[in-house]
Amino acid sequence: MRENRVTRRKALAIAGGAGAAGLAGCASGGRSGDSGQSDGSNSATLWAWNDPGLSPIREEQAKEFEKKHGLDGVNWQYYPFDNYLAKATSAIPAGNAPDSLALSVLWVPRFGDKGVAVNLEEHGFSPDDYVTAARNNSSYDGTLWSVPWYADCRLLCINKQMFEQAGLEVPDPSHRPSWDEFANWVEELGKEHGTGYSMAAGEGLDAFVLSNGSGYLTEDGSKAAINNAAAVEAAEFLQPMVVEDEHVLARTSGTTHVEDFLSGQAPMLYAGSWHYPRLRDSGIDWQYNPHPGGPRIEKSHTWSAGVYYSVPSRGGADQEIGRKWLEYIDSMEVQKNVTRAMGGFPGRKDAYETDAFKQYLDDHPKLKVVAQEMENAVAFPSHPDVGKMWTAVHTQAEAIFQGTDPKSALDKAAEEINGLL
Amino acid sequence: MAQSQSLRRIRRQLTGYVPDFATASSEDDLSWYLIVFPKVLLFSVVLLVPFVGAFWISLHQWEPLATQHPFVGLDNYVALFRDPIFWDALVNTAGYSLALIAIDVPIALGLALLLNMNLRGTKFYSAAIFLPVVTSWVVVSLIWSWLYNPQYGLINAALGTVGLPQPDWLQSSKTALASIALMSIWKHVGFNMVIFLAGLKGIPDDFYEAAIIDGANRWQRFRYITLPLLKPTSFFVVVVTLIFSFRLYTQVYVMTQGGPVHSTYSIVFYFWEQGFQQFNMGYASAIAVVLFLIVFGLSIVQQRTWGDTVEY
Repeated sequence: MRENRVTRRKALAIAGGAGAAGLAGCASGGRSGDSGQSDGSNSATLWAWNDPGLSPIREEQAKEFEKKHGLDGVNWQYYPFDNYLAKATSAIPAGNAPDSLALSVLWVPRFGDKGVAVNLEEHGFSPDDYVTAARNNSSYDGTLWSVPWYADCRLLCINKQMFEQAGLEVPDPSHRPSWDEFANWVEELGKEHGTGYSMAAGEGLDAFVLSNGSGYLTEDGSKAAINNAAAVEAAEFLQPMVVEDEHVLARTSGTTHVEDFLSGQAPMLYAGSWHYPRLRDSGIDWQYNPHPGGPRIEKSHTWSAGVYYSVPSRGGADQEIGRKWLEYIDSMEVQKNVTRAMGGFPGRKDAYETDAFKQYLDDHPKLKVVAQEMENAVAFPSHPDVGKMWTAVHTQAEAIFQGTDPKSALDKAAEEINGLL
Repeated sequence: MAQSQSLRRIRRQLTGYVPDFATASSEDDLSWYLIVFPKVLLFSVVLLVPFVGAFWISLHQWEPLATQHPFVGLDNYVALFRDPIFWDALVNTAGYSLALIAIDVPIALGLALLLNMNLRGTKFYSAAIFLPVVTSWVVVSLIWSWLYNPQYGLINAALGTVGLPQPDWLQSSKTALASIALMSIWKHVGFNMVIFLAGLKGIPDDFYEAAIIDGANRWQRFRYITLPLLKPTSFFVVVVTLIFSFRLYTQVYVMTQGGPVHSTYSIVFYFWEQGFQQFNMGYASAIAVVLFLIVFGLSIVQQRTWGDTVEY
């Protein structure tokens, strides 16, 4: 009889080997190409974060792009904003990168810094084509890594009817209120309606800091500026209105501040230019005004963000199709109609000079102040860790609006920012 | 011997499905290995390998988009213990955990005792109390976010009608964590109640009948019969609640995003934020390893101090 003995040790060794082989098999899956060559299919895969308001125009663009380049299909994949970056960051090393993906302005520098975006200047794109804020947001370290689909800015939005009810004169839409004027409005509106103004806590503070000539970083980007005198002055200006009078609502979650305005609770809103379609359809008699300007500078500044498209330089993206998509987004047919399509403003300078754009502004005069303020909007700091800076400042903004001393809170934010530089 | 008979029976059942060498000799008996192999494989692939991987990553500066991951030894752990946000998260998680054990468990026991009395409508109340358990955490968190809304939430509306103060439940760092804990207790209490109810059903009526004959009142029956015989169940409930509470994440993510001012940061939320928002995978892995050690250590302590006398 043949001796066929398998000991426990051998059995465990066989099982272990089988397990390891299985895991190795899993690890080698996915698209392997890092060469930027097509995988043979004639279709495009594009990623963006979920925004139901933008989906219809994206689908339209996909059809147009597909037709223009004779593609077999354009596949949009949407992910929730909160998980979008994590998804993109894990897909690229795993070899599952899309051919092009939308990036927030907080992410462009990281992609540029890590070398996972295609250098667009090597492919005929020029940073000089874009308005200042869009140019800075789409670049990092002097190189263009993304193309702006649209750019935006932040403004003050007022409910005209509630202004009149409080006995206030509705200002001309182009009028930039001073802080004192704004404080008076808040007080009068607060007396009449209980609330004067609603804002997102973090960005609301940012806007007052920027409108007083400060920011996250000094001009040369070498150290934090968020705790300088102008920034502290902004925080000290806002804090009593939130904490003591409670006429300003500093919201910490999502779009609650927008809901406050739309529900008629707040007569003034810290609004984005991209809120235009919702405001237009709200049935409220409203208007945009420039964000209040601080005592230290003559004009107000707010952040400019938007949606920026990039092409992954590795992870199996078909770079040729990705670049074609960027060329399409950068084309005048898209840029001159971007405001009509979704309420954003063109990233390209020359789109502002087109008849189509000018006509649209004439037909929608409420947007003229947006065009005016686009020139004053500023880009986010161009640093790979700008997202962490944003979190640090906004956390301290929440602390300020819970009653923490503004100077010590902003010192803490500055310390965190300096730690990142 | 009963055990030998069981073994022989299993060998007979395996005959024809596995090679002879696996069941032929008791010395090289592989039948038990074959039975436990799927579980061991699953455990290894799903838990052991990722844990070892997490520990390995925690020893590196690991960013997903980077091509190099430099070895940093224990630097991530040193930084973690100096990180005030981590300590905030630890204190918040411990507070939340304590709230659940101190409030959820006794309420669940009380409800189970009431439902065990077979009063009218018991089935309806059981279903009503258990319903939140089977509802998604995301759905429940969203609904409670609306209930907690300071302006148009139902809770403040009710408080307002009787002239009570209307707090900023989720907007204030003083009340945000307590608000999340309150919602979690409401959602989780049904689970513990069912476990306690099963434990109560397992206590023979003879003990109560004997105690009644001996003149024991209701409290004495509870103190000297119910509680001691529920000890195994209580041990299970406390351990499971502790482990559950240390996994606090979904409610925080949906309701507060960790704010205001880190007041609702939990260990798991901080782990997610570091790993998947800030992309410090090495640091996030160090948090995961420390969380594992905390939960494992607490379970061991409970087992040593309470579990020795537990009989199942």
